[in-house]
Amino acid sequence: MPSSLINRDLISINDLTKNEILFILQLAKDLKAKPQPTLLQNKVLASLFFEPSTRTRLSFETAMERLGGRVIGFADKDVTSASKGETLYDSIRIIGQYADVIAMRHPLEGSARRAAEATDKPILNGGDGANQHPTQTLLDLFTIQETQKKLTGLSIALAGDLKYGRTVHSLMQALLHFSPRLYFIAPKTLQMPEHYLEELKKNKIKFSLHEKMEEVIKQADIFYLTRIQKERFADSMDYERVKNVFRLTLAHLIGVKKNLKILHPLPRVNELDDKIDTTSHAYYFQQAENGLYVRQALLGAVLGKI
Amino acid sequence: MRRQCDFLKRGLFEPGRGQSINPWLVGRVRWPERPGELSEQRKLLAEHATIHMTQDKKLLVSAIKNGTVIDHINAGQALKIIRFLNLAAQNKLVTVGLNLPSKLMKIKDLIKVEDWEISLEEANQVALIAPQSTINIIKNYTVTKKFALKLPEKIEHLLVCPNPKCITNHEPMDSFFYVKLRKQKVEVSCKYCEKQFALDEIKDYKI
Repeated sequence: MPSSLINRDLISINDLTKNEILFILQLAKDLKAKPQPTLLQNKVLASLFFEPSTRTRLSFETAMERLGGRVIGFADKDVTSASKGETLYDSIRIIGQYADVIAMRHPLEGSARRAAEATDKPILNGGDGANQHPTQTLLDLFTIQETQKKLTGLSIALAGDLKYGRTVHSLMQALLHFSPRLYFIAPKTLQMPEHYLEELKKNKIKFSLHEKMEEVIKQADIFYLTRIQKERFADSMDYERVKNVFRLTLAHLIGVKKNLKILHPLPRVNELDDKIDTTSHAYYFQQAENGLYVRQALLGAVLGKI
Repeated sequence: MRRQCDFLKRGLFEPGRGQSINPWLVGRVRWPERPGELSEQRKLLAEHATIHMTQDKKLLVSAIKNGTVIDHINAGQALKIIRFLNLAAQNKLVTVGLNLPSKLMKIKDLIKVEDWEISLEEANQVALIAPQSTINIIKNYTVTKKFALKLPEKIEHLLVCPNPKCITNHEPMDSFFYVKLRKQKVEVSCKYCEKQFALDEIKDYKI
């Protein structure tokens, strides 16, 4: 067990080495196979959600409960002293004295890194604005490994809002460790930013840019689709046009690889036809469930119990 | 003319007994007609005390006795450096030259600060804005120290993150940037929001 994870913060996926990532995935697999309902008895998780969240908050809290720990916290910043103007630093410093570990989401970018400076208790970042969401990336990797029985050398297509989407940026960065073949599918204005593409070149990772899903879906082992948000478009007409074109339907699945799995961080809007839900390629609901095991693994690891 | 040359021969930077140099007076003195006659030491002094002359060989910026000279600043950056180093608030005599003629750079800026010695950390901050500038410490009209400028690895306090959603713009806290060269351009990345910026995207400083 890498003792390096004990009492560690998880702010950004880049904070983890390849070995640490693989270790967490293995722990998650073990916990999925064999629950440990008393592992974190007498431990307290502070679940601090300064902005709304459903999956992330509930899965962090459920993860703690299923390991026998307890949860304090809030799901709405208006009930906290933040609404009175207290700094995040002060809030975290105080809450750090009550809890053993803190999971937080905050609308400002860099808030989790700042929170980590205020307390010596581990901070698990559940999303800081558009910046990082490392537990999502870990559960994505876990799901990819679970469905393909490996992580290395896969053909992975990332589709949707690749310009602003934190999920795809973090996933891409984590995949640098696993020599994938990457396909980026997005409307031209929402394509993967140049500096990420440079990082891929530097790491000698093969990739190509596309505008249509049908161009690459037949080659993919994993098709990772993300939501395109209306507010990213200056002109709402442009959004309407893209919205209807950029949609994965049953027709796209003709002739795809048998092992293809479609993943989506959810919530979905229009980009993923719900008729796909019943096909063998749909795996996004199981993906969301896997968040539970990955977060259990993290809680256990940073608290030094596994 | 003869009197002025005599004055220089006696020592532009080495005043005779009982004679002190008024820097403003020096600024109006004419240069000898045969610079080849200058001693090596004076040449060095002339170079590093950064005496600037126009076509008719008038000195534009005075020499300083003790302090720091930041020379070969790309034109337009001197005021930024003054702000960066907070020089205006230190009650020191600061002489600034903007758009001075330069053989190497065509035009350049220059800053001289009397009775103030720049630190290595501050010098590296200057490198961030004007990497080709030269910084010399002057003691008794002589260059006693030259800085080999290098980019700092990190910058604390000074820069304001251009990302309006960055926590550093919402909490009473210091900013922190990592510095790197990318395609010959200085780039900084915020430790907190992890966004990367070209240096000219930074518009504000915490001073």
